[in-house]
Amino acid sequence: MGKRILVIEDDLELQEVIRLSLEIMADFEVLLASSGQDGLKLAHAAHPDAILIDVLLPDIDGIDVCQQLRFQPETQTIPILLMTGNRLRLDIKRIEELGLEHVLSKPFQPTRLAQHISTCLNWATEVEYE
Amino acid sequence: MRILLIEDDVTTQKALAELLQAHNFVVDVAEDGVSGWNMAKRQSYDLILLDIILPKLNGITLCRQLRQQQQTVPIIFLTSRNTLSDKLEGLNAGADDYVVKSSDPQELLARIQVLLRRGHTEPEFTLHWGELSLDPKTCAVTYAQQDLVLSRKEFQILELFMRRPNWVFSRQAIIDHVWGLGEDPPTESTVKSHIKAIRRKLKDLNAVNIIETVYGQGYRLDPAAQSAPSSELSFKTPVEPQSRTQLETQSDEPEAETAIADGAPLPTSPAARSTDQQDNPDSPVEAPGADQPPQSLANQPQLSSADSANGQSSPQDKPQAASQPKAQSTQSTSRSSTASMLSADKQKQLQANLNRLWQQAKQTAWQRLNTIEQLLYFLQPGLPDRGLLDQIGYIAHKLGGALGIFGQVEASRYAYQLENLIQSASHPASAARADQLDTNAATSATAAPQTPEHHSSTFKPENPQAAGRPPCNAELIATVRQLVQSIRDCLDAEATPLTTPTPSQSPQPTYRPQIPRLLMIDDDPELARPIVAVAADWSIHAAIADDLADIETAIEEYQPDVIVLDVYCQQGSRSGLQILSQLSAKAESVPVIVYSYPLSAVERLQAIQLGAVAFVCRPAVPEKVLTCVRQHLVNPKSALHVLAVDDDEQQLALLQTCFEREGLRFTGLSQPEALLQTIQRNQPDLILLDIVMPQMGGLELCQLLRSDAEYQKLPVMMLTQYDDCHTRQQALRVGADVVLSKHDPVLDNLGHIQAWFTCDRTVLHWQTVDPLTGLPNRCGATQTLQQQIAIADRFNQPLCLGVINLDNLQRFNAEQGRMAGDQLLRQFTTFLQQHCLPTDMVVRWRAEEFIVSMLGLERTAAVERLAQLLELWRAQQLIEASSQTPSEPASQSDEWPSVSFSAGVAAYPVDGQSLEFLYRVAEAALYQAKLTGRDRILPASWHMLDPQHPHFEVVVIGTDTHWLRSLMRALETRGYPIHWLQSGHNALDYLDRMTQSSPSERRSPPALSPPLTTILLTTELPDMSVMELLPQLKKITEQGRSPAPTIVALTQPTDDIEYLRSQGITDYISLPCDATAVIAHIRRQFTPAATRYS
Repeated sequence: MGKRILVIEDDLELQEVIRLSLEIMADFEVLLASSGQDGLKLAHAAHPDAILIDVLLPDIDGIDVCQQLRFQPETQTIPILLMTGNRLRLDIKRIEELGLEHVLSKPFQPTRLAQHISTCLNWATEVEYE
Repeated sequence: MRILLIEDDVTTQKALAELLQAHNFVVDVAEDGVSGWNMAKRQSYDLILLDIILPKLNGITLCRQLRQQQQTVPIIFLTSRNTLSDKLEGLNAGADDYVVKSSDPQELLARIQVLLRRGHTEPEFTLHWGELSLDPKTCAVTYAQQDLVLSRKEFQILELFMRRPNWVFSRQAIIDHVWGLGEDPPTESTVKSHIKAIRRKLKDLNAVNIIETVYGQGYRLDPAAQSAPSSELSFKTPVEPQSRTQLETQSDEPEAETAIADGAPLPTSPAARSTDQQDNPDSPVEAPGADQPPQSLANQPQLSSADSANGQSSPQDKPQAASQPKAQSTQSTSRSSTASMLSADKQKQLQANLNRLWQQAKQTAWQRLNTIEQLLYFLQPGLPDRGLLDQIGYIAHKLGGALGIFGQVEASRYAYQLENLIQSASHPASAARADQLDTNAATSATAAPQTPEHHSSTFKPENPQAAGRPPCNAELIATVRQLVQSIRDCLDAEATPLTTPTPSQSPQPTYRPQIPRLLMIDDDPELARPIVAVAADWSIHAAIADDLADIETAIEEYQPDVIVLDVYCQQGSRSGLQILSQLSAKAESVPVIVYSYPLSAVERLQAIQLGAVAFVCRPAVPEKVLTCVRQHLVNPKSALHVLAVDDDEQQLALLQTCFEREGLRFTGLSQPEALLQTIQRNQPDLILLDIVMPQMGGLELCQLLRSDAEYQKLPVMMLTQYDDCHTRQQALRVGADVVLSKHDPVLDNLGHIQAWFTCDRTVLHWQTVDPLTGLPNRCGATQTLQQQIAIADRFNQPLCLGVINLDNLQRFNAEQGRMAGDQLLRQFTTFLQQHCLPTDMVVRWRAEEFIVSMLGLERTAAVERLAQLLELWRAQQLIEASSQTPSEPASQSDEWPSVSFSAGVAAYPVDGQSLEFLYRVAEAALYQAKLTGRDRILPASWHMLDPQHPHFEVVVIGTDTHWLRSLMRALETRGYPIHWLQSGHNALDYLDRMTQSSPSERRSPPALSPPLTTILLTTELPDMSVMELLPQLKKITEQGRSPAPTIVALTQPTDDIEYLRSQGITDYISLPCDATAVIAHIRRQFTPAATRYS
């Protein structure tokens, strides 16, 4: 089993696509959460190697989730990747304050997601492409 | 799948075992650490559920020992200890997950599924082997789309095979996996007969040789059978420790060839294996010549983690690899090509999975489009959108993301366009950026791999200031419809979703709005037309079929959910009853309501036997017919709500699992003393009470309910352990409707409960009550409101209708999330209920709109009542806001609370004689309130100020003080136009101008004449004393052509009242006093002459 990634995304089909693409393409271990609250709990309990967060979540705004993660000593070092369908609506000031450098635009290619994450986080290439 | 549960608490043990068994797991239970350790050593489990505090050996140590023994079985800690350090300790000891006992059983099940899935990379939804598919969740097994009916054990055996394809299971292994320790182990011949039965059932569906006998070894799924396209998904197959030895010694080369040729899950090729052996000296050495059989999977666990080169080889490179199995010189080339093949394989596997998932996602996309269509249906051009646009935008956002990921670039682009359109319509300030957004969506939809540099260059900050929302226009609605249609067209047009089409592609669902449809069959459309006209208000689509010769076509085209038939309509030789019999033959699932002149008993019986479900006698008001229609439209099971009170949380969790699985809503309550509040908040349809509880038992609670006027008719069921006659009698005596025994299986009890729900009163209750707030909804309140009007008319009482609308709820939803929005609506409901009188009726009319009917109140008093409510609500919101952000009290108190409300008030009979008219008048006033800045209460016939010639009813003269501001805010809240003059000179100038112009010059509406002004004068002015001001003021007002304004002095204790009186003040109010006292005073000034507030 490779790296452990927590995915916080409320769209169940997208969740499944991300899970499949990360498990199959890179053998990442994927933890899923459908809401910000669940995501925060899982992040505390499971100590993932990275967290993938959708900006638009049903309960808490994705960036607020990031903020809470950054304020907790147990989770403040976990790399975070934000996913958004609409970059222009992001609050760049907050994102910069929270040190969130990685933003993934939706839609993305599922076959390249794992590689993209690995590249962003400077993980040794575990995914190979022809 | 076999699970070991190590738990010392017997209640938890039983509840969990029952839960897991209900989900087809085989569960073995150990009561202490040592026996758990022994069992885990003896038997291989798919998962272990482990408590931390255990007798003899604690869970943490046990977990560590298991991991030291290289046991890789997934372990979940299940414990009541919820601190972070406990969790860390558990996870560090080697557990895979940690679940707190108080959490939802569904969460535990989900986590178990996650771990089981992780172990075997199996598909989430359905297991496939060729044309055979098995859904572990629904327990449905099909072969070539035909249902296969299996017994429980047969199902478990087949599931075992399908979860581990390619594995050979001996009969003993099957017994070990499928039969629990609590069950008597069967003989091997039992297994044989089960296998035989499965084969026979498969053969009936023309499926032969699915389960193959491996001579001397056992059974497995025949790889040759896995040739259908749906079997593209390949499985990573870990080694089962028990079967490893026997499998390694087995040799079956021809089958290996078959398996590869047929595209079955790929075993390690000889080339790859030779590499494996060099990389892993520990791996078993194969006998030369005896080629590795496909089942020999000893090396495969390293595939995923060790080295991407140690991968599965594709069928194409096998001959080449086989011809040079040990050529060292070509090894590196072979390695890199294998790597790319592996990657290609993985991509192929992912694509296959995505294709499968796309079928499901497509359904969701259709559903989302349908929801948008439904929301559009309720948008009216020229009226405020009431938050519907925001909802559409949210759905479009989700749609765009999902479609894009599944490669539906065009459809995704349209969805994002839709989102941007909505965004720019509801927040015009951001409209300028819409084009940019559009371009961005289009470029990102091409799904080029993103780079970090690309990100930072395109960021733009969000504009948090939401501008005022204009009413939606017809053009916008048309464009939205057009975009939705474009997305539909894209989805219709797509034939090959990603790479390969799935043969079993389900037919495209045609669009069908989920608004219920009513078909009126009547040869006289004039009689049916009023019902069709009113149906729209009831959210029912209605159509008339007056061509009786062609009813079949009408039904086919319209697909009604309910039919209303006039049995006396005739067409040629067909009577209504004949039509009825044809209807029940053609559309038997559609309920038919007979709407006709009174029928004799014989005719009624005849109609019932022909399938009529209800009768409505003519003549009847449309509401009566529609009430009947609604009753037959509801699926009573879908939203029924049970509230269970039990001090045993485990029992509550168990009940919740069972109830929710049956589609019922469930609320558990472990503190009996909070029953009444919980009922008020949740408005359940049925109460389930445990008889024995520590503080207040079920009998006492039942007495409490039966003595409450509101809840005395609520169905109450008692759950008891003491199943004796005395207890039952006692329970029935205090008012329980049914007494259930705790010893009966939960599902039996569920049956009793569901039987209750067929009862009309609960169904009617649900139809007439808004599920979110528990208030009567429009359907439930209409009749009562009409009755109130009748009462007001009969007893010559005033009656006012206040239409209340929460301001900025959409923005609140967007910022805080919809759950918070729902919570706010509930909070607002509780607030209204607490502060309205028992004679008032509070209704949730629609979305964020509420109606309060106030019997016995004149319009002025009703405005005052609602204004006071608004002030209370503001205070409550402020307190909450400051309690949530204690660090920034100053910034919070500077701005008004984010969600206030506006209201319009109409009075019976002056503003309207019917409910509909009153509502429209009050809604118009509400609209005015929204236009003038929200957060206020306006009476009907309130007119906006003419900006050219404003006439202010209240002129305030005084310096800026907090009290004066609060007074003016209170006046504004009640809709008084006010003008504020901060100095004496300003006041004199203004009043001079005002009094010199005549009423005709002011062009004020006739209803406003004679214009009347109250001057509120504070006695402390910056530029002159009040003694200087008053004589000049008096002079000006006496010279004026219009009626003299009344001057009310707001005096300090030190002022000489008598002198002020002599200088012309009409009245005085001593400060300090409350703003409401001033308002009451002003109102008195208006009352004799003005008609507006009377």
